[in-house]
Amino acid sequence: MAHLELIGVEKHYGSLRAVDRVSLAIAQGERLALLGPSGCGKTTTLNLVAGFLAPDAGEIRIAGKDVARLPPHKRNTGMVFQSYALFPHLPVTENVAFGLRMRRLERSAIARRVAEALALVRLDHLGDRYPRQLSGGQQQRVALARALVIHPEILLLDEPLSNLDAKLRQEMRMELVGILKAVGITTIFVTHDQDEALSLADRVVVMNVGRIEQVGTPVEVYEEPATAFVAKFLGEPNVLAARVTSVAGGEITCELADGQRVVSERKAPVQAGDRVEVIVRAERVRLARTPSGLPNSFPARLEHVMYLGGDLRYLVQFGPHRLIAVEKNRGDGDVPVAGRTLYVEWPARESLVAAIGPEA
Amino acid sequence: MRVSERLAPWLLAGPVVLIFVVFFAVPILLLFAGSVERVDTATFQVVERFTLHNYRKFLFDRFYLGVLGTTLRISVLVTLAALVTGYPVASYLRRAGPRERAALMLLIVSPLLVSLVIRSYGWVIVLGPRGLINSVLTGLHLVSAPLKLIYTETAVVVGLTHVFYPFMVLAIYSSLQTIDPAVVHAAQNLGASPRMAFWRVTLPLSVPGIVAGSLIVFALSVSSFVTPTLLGGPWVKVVAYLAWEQNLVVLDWPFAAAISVILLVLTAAVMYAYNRLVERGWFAGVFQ
Repeated sequence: MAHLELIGVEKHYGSLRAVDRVSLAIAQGERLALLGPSGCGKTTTLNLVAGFLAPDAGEIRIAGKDVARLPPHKRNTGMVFQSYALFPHLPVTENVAFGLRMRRLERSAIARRVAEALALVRLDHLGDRYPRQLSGGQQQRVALARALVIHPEILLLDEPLSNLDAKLRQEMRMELVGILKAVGITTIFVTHDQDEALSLADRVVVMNVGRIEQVGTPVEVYEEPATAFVAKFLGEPNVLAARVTSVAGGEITCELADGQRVVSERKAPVQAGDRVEVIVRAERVRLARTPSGLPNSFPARLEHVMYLGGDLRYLVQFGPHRLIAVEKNRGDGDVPVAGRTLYVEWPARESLVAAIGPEA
Repeated sequence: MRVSERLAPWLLAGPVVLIFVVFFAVPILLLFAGSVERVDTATFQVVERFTLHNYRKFLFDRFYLGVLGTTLRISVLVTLAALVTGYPVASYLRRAGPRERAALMLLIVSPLLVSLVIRSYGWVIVLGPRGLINSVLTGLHLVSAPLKLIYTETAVVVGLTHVFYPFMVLAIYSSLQTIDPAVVHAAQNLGASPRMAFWRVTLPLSVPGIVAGSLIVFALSVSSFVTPTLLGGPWVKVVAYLAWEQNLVVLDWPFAAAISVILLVLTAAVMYAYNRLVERGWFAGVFQ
């Protein structure tokens, strides 16, 4: 049975549907990421689960029990806030002990569990400090310890790493996934950072304007995007406007504005004559000196090379179209220079064809 | 360039320092100096340059000590009344929408927009023997004779609370504003009922505002003159009234100066002790 279940959950603000008929089932111990741009409803969904907001429709079940009408303090969820929301007037140990005191545990049990929780996040030596005496990373860990120490049914993380600088974020990401695996707790976290979602979650829920676009493993949502939105939101997409000329034998052929043909091997609900977008991820576009026989291969001019150390980014022009291509810098010295003519190529399975919807 | 850089702070602060010295520091020093003199009230001649006579006169007299006690009691009650009635209003103000907040704010500071004398006379109209309350009560035959509402300590406390309460509300409101709403959510998420979250999180975090508001209201109450005189009449005397009386009626200026110094020192001591008690003792974490 699902540990947490959302059934047809809705939240409206006036005419705005912040969360629109969202249904989800999360298994015991699963880590689920809610991923999407700001305003997509992911934080609202999290607040609905925590109980800070009441849904306008639908059910929220934790371990089979509908909690949609329960106030936050009766839901037994543990939340790590984006701002950490530590109690500034209490030292670290009292911050962590807060939830246990509310549960009226015995003194000795509180002391033991606080010590365990602080050891888990490797902060046992800073128990007497006040929050403002801690670095961002340390505050984050206190917030995590405070949420875990109450043994919540569900752990909720709101943009857990967004307030840390890039280097620290990488470290904390590794540490966080280690802690979550060790504790084995059912976790939902909200993020707008796809790296975070893909690296931390068992499954990713991509949301847009209050609705779920796709639910799947990190590999599924990245490699098999279900909608044009997902394809464009994840990775770095190149988008080419085109018209379908034929759909035959699992192959879709499209014509770009200047008459060049792009081939896709992916399934898409389109017919000949439809106006579509062809989406190709930047790291799947290859540059070649001579055509290598791929179905999508176009003579092009290299407009600009951006040297990023680990990566090389190319801006390529073919006909009226511009593409970004990204390659790893392997250090073999063979960096093409701007102004050269070459071929841009990608396999047919890398072109995703999406019908241009009424709002897209 | 260098010289002007060095002079710049002095030039910028100069006018304010000058005003402070001329209108505050010098008068206070003159007050201290005057308070240790002794004049013959018949001839107005200074008979002694340095004596503690005036202080002895005040501190070993039951009447004067009684007036001091009344003043402190009224001030403490006004502070408490302003705190108890002001906190919920500040709390509501924090949650109100922008329009409602602007309207409420105007309502709250409105006592400050009217002259002190007029405001106090307003209370005379309400509390007097033929005032609003007594007219209603006698008109409804709930009481046979008008209640003695005015010229009591209670009347003074009510009047002063009305006047100084905006300072309390604004001080608490500004400290409530600095509390991250997520912190209160965090308390609830960890199992605190809304009431528990208030006692354990919101209230301790708003202590700086409570302290600031209390200190302002107490200081203003202790030195108030017009309101106690109008609403307390001849029966409720406060220290500020004594100082005025000695100064302008009895014309014993040194004694008036000594009374002022005693009030000043006592108020400063009370405020310091209160501040220290709260900042260092009960809620040390809040003031980290």
